Amino acid sequence: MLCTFVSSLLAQAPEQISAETPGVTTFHTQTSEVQLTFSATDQNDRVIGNLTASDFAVVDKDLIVRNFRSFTRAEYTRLDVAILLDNSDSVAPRLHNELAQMLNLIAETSGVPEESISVISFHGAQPKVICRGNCRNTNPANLIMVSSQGGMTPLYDSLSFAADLLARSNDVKARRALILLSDGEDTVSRNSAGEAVEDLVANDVQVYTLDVNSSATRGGMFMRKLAVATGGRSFRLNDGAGKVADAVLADFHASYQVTYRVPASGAGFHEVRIQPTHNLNLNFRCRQGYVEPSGR
Amino acid sequence: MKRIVLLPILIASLSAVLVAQSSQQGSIVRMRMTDCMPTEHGFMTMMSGGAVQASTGMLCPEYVMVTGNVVYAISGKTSDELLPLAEATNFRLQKNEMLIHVDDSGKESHFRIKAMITRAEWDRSQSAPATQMAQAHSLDTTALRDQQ
Repeated sequence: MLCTFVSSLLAQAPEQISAETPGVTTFHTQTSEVQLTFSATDQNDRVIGNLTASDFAVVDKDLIVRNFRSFTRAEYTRLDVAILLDNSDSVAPRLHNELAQMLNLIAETSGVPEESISVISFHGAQPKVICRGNCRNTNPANLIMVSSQGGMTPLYDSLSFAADLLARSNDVKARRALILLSDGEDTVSRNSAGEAVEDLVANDVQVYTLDVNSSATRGGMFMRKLAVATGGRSFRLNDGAGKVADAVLADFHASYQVTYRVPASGAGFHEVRIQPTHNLNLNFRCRQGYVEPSGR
Repeated sequence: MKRIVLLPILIASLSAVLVAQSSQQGSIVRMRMTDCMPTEHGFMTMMSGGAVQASTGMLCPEYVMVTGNVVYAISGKTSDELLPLAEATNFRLQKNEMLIHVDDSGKESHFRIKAMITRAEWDRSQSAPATQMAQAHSLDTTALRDQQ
């Protein structure tokens, strides 16, 4: 199940009493609330469209939450997609067909009210925006420019860069997805892998990875972990770009939002996961957590 | 003759009552993934002075189950031995294990009981200040020490 943890903590402050009007006592109270966006699939990886609130529980920093403040279908009106393309000479030549197929599938699919597709490549010292928001009509041949800069691959820096780019739209009705086509190897970044993941999680970006390695590698493992941590999915090159595009679109169409009070377990990072309450064949996918800035 | 006929019926009825009584209900309030406990064989090796099996490298689910009188910390034996997190979970105890139906197949999953405390003690720990809660929640200090 693909669960995107959309947001966040709304407010945190202790209960207060004030007398704003003579003779009238007004009680003010604020609560910390978590809002999670997620989607669910069955054992055959089919999206579940009729989920109910009694079908799942949230595990928030070990504490199990079953009483939700709200549970609804997520109503996204916009899909912001960035394709992050490893343009190093060892990877780029293998991606031409996949990139073309992916662009076509996303751009031509009906049912997405509004979509924006950007392509970022990374080679050399800096990531580079090839086209922003309007890539649907761009010839993929123009997007793949094999690097000749000594194989420098700033993958982690580029992930942070893409997270920042997607967050700039600041549209709460937009679902942000990043598709990473790479071998998962980084050679030159200033950021660490952990910092890159933090940036993506903080900006609510789901990552879908397409691993070009033909066998298990350290880079491939990083890409799988990246997808899990952000509530995305991971694929191999053999799966084809169509599967990646299908996953992005399926998650866009069938996601849910749940809100609940932050369990009283202190400030700091709250790891979250969603687990079934009855049917263990249900699979939920969501962002790995959130940061509560202060304890209650 | 009549008594001989009634005896098996009486025994069967008593057995059914005893089984029903041994079934209990609780609610799972916590879950975490933690290092799987070494196997019993590993434990025996360690006790006999052999090399210590520190960790299996796998993560196993661990739960806190609250019942009317007792609170249990239980753990699965494998990483995929997950429990549905329903409001109420039926279980029964057998030796040092908790047996739980996890699906409709009738098969019971066996969970190790790592620790248990009385419900009263648990309730006191829930109302304790945050600084004390960490210790009070530690049904098993190794397993639950990082919860707070």
